[in-house]
Amino acid sequence: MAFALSIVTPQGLAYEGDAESIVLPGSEGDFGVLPNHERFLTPLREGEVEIRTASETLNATIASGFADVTGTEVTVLVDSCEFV
Amino acid sequence: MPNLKDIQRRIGSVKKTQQITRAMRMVAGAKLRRAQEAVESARPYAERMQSTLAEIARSKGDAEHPLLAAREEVKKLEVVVVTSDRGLCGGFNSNAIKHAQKVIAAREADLDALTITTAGRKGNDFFKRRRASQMGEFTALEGWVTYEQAAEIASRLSTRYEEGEIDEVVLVFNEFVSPMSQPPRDIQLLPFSPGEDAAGGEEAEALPYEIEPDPQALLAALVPKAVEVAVFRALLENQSGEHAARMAAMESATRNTEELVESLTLQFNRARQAAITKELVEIVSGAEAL
Repeated sequence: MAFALSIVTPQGLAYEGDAESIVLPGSEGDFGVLPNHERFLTPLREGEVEIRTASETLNATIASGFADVTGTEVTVLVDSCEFV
Repeated sequence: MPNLKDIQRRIGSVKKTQQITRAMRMVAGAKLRRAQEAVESARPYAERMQSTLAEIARSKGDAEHPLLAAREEVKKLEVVVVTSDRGLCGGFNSNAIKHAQKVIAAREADLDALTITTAGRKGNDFFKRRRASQMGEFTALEGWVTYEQAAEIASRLSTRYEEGEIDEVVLVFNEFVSPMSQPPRDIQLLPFSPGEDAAGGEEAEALPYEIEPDPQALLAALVPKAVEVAVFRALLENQSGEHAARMAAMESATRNTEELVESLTLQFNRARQAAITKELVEIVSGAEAL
């Protein structure tokens, strides 16, 4: 089970691919997203992101922005994103 | 009749100029490609932003944002003029400046106050001289445009708008349509209008969104960013347009030097021939005299 994840910044796509889960720093606290998550929109604060794909775990730091979650797709729109 | 040496010197100098214009043309071409890539990479972000904003605008209910609220009477106008830092790009900067002046002339009569913010040295130099008392902030672009620059300009404008210092912000820049055409245009930056159109049709009909914590909070996070994106886009368009305009200008300059070299070479050969003929005549008449 996986969903399509894309992290979009004004500089271009920072990440695009399948992920099994992602933890994001929401404005109200960190939250995790698994496949088939309810459709929702939320602002993000600066913080760390943990992406788990089938083969590895990626960590990144993001600037503020927001996340758009649907059951099969997660789009993270942030000012910048740096992978650790 | 200019002498041979003079013509030769001029040919040499025109050829040197040609080397420069040719090199500048190539550099501008390479930079244009890079600038266009920057525009391309910013596009997905801008599009997602637009569609999300339209989505919220549809489902926001009574949520509001100060940057979306229009003033009843516009008395204090801010004009943001985007130009390049450097010249040698044909009419590129003067087009934007002229357009800005047209916008100002059309509105000025109804205003109490007008301020001009500039991004890019050329526009700043122009307005500094003519409207020194009305100058606002100036941002030099220096090298490649970054999102941070755009964010800074946008947040300064947003703050002043929210505080009631200005009633409307108009952004003037050259739009990059194609490498051959960069017409100037003006858009209303603030109050910000979330365009309903873009990508509204396809997926927007789908499920309603759950918005956390609430539409108001999301709008507060989103609208300033959308303004930043609009400024960023103007800066990027300006950047691509600058290099495209410079490329065209340098191309025609190179062509002109080629023509000039040709006509000077012709002149040179004529003068050379005339000199030889004259010498021959002198020798022959000298021999006859003996």
